[in-house]
Amino acid sequence: MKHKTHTFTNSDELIEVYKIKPISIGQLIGVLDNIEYEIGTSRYTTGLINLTNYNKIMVRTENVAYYYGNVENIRTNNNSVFNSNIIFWKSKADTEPFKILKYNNKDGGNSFVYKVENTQINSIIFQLRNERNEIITDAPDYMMVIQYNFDEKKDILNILISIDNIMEEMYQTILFAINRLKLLL
Amino acid sequence: MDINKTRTIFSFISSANRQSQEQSCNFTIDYPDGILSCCPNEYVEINVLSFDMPNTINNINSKNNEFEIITPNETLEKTIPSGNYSIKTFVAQLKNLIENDFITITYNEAQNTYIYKQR
Repeated sequence: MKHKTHTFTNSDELIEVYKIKPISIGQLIGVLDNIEYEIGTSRYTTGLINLTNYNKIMVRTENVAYYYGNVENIRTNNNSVFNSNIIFWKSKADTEPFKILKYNNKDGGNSFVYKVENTQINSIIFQLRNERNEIITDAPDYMMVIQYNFDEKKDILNILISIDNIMEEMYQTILFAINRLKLLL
Repeated sequence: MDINKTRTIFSFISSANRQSQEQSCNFTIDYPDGILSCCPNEYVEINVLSFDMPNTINNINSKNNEFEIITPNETLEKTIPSGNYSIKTFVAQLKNLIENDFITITYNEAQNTYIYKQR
């Protein structure tokens, strides 16, 4: 009697592989965009999750030149250092979503004080940017108080001349005193 | 160099009152003529005294919310709605979008990763 048998073979074509391809969420899940990652039956583990996107809220100013070159390497990605026009920055991640992100210079500190080279300011363009130097287009309205302090420069040459005059007067006084003492002796 | 403060001007700024064609992230303040002009022996300092802004900026927006699921038969384009997500609400949203009979997603808290698995 002839036995009838069935033989089962394993075929790769039968395994349906699913893939995930981040288009723009790669940075959030720690992988590269536009690359296909096989999920498979074993499992696919992403990179570290970081939903921060960006953290810094920076206020930049246009039309203003600052003294003594505050510098930054944020505007380019090749570590070039340029003069900075950032006047304020704060971490968004320090404030819960939908709460007020606030800064108050209560103690009169000089954290965000900048000496300006311009002798006249007619207008200032304020820009909100993040640490990637992207304009934060979905930023809500904000309030800001800026103090302009006008300070008087004192000329060092005049100070030195006045010190020289005082020293001269002291010398003359001592000389006069010595002469008087000689007369007495 | 010794300095003497000669005068102080406060500028209270609300981005809501910008010109209509401007955005709150990029607007101009025009000062009245001469108000911010230095005398010959003066210089000016800018001091940020206060800044207040609601933290309503979404961490997921139109620039970082798209991915594709590629099945043997088709490519499914997925878009995560803009919003402020935590790690757990984000995975819940992913589950809503792609978890079906074939794919599961879990959050590995110890490693801070997501695990995709095909059933």
